[in-house]
Amino acid sequence: MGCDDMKDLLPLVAGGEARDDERQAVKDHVSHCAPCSRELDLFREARANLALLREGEVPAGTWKSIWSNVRADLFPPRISRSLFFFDLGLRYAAVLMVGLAVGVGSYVVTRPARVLPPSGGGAADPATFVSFQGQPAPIQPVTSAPVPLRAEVNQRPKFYAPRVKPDGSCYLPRVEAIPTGGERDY
Amino acid sequence: MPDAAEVGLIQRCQQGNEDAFRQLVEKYQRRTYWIAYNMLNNYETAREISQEAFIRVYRNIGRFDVKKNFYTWLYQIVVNLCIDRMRKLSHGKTVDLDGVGGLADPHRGPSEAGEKSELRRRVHLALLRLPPKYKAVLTLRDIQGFSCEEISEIVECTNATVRWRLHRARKLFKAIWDGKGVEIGDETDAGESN
Repeated sequence: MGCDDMKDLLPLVAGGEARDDERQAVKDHVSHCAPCSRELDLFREARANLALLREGEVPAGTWKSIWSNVRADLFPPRISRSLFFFDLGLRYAAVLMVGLAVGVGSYVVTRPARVLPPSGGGAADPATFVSFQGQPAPIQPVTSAPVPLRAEVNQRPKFYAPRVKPDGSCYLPRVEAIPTGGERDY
Repeated sequence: MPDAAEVGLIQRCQQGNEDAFRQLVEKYQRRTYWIAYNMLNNYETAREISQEAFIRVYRNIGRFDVKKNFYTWLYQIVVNLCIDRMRKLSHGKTVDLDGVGGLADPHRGPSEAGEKSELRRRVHLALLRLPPKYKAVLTLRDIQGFSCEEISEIVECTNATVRWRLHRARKLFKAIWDGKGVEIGDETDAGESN
């Protein structure tokens, strides 16, 4: 057998996997072939270097942590029946409270604006109402000063209340009081 | 054939005995860990693989035949998990070593950590460059000292295939160590019989 044939057997002889006849053939060849003998020594040296990796130092706590993690996964601690129901009750209560909070919050944000009573006194002129056709509608005499509306912030426009005659009828707003601008010359 | 004490332990595990399983874990965790570490070269990943392997063993121990060797089944799971992890990390790429510099540099002086740890580091680096199938047989045979029969059970192939892979793995490892450019190519070799 030549060196080319030997080269395929050298790794197996170095590792001890070669058959008896293969081992003998290699032994006979390397006894008179220095390059193949050197090659066989290099394979044995590589194998010895690999054996250095068999074991070594590990980070502290590795062995304990392997078992504790395996145990936590396969044998979780059992809780008592009462604790289980207590935990379940707490979870439902938490969900209920969150739902209540969301409901109350939604109500507060979306409720309609309230009309607040006026802060002080003061007589105010009653308003007059003009009917749809433009005719003044009959009104009841005002016995007490009407209460002007105090609007909420950004809620209602302001009204200019006309003056009241002594007999109880009302004037339309005075011309001078009407804002200028926009009039047309018909 | 497994010994009687181990058979008893396994049978108690099959009945859900936590203490029996703890004894099995303590018996095999070191070797399991070092197989995973040699294949992946990472302490944290090796620990995760070991834990996952033991968890899978316990979950399937009901189907285990006590007449067979427990450790070959365990290490089979470990090797498969390691190969899956390596494939995930490398996305299936194999390493083309053409032009890569040699690791056994005679002009390199000893590192501060000591010659032995430097040597271990270089061996690890060379081992990392092998494809998963070759790395597995080399780890099991040359590092952990399993026989070819045991390796054939662990990696689920014939004795001849194990021999072929060892032959190829050692040649590749030596070529990497010597700094020669080697194209590893596809993991499926023509010389494999399975």
